Order: sequence, then structure tokens, then C-alpha cells
Amino acid sequence: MTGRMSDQRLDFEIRQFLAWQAEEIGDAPSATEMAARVKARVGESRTGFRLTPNSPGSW
Amino acid sequence: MSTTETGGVTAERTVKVEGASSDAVIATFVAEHYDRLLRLARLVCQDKSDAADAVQIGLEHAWRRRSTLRDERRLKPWLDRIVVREAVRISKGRRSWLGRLLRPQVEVGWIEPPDRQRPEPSTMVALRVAFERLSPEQRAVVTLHIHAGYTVAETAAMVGAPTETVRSRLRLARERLRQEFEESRP
Repeated sequence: MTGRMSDQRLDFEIRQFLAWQAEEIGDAPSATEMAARVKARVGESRTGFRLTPNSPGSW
Repeated sequence: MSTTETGGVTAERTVKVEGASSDAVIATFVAEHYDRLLRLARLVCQDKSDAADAVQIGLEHAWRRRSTLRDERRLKPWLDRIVVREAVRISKGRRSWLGRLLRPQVEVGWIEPPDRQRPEPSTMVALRVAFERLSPEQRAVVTLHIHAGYTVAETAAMVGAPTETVRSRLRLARERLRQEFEESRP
């Protein structure tokens, strides 16, 4: 291992990592599906459901 | 954040301009902000379904309270704040003993498996593990400041903490990430 890296270099590496990990949303609901869920909860015709019904304290 | 970064039309303006139904406006509203919000929530939550929940709850909350937003240029940071706070709330619930009891599967959720199609260098693995071990509050400030580019003061306002607290969270988070990263370097 070499010496301690600079703060700027560390932030660069963290930024690279975060950008990389933020792309890991491949199997998330699509924007269309999410819009349908939101509309179902707050839109003109409310027939709502949620992805994860037992999340604490949300509804 | 700049006005241009807010981008696009807001929900209220779309109603006035297009006379669209509220459902159509919601679809536009979600489409405009969803990808960014999902990425923020994914980083804070470290769990895909929690991230989607945080975004959905945040968008619903924002939609219901959209009339309280006086300056449309603040829409983007306003939404980011709502979703990141929701992501922190959900993640903290996961960390509690009751949360683990109610939804035990999350403890094995994010370290494995990564996307098998993508190469994962050892430094990325180290940062993944270290970042997952940070508290939700630390992940939130790292995400907002380092990933999303908000200033420390903006980040503090968004997470509802004093500026010095945010600086402290950032310092601790950087040290933990630095340690794992440096140890993982060949």
C-alpha cells in the first residue's frame, strides 16, 4: 500500500463509486409504473397499492 | 442549485398551460424527476425495494403538498430533500430490532448479489461494503454532498441538521471509506 491519498483523490474515488452504484436500479419499477402507483394514491381515481405494504409508519 | 438544474415544467404550470387532467400531470411530474430520485434513494437505502418505496412515498407527499412550494426554482432540491429524508427514515427503521424482525430479508439485501454483468474491481467492493456500513444519516450527507453536488450548507438544510453536524458526518464517512479503499488497493 502506498501513502495516504489526498482528500481530492478520495472524493473522486467516492464519486466514481456512487455514480457506479446509483446505476444499480435495473429492476426497479419504471417511471410509468411509478406514476401509476402515485396516481392510484393521490390522483383522480384512487385505487392505490404499494410496492411494500408493511413499511412502517407510511400510511 | 441553479434554476436550470430544476429543469422542465412543474406540475402546477403544466396544469395551467395544458389544461391536462391531474393524472396526466402526475405522470409528467413523475417522469421528470423519477430517475434522479430513485438513484438518491438507492444510495441512501442500499435496498432496491426500500428505495422505490421512499420515492413513491416522497412523490405522494410532494404532490399533496405542492401548493406549499412558493418558488418553482426550488422544486428539485425540495423533492430531493423529501425523498432523502424518507429514505433515511425507512433505513433507520430497517436498522431497528423491530424492523429486522418484521422484514429480516433486508440484512442480506445489498452486499450480494451485484449485477453479474458488470465488472466489480476490488476497490469498488471495498467501498460498497464500507458505504453499506455507514449510518443512513451518513449515507444521506455523502449522497447529497458528494454525489448530488449540494453544498454543505444546502445538505444541512435538506437533512435538517446543523452544518457542523453534517461536516462531522462527512468527515467520519470519508475516514471509513478511505480506510476500506486504501486497504483494498493492490
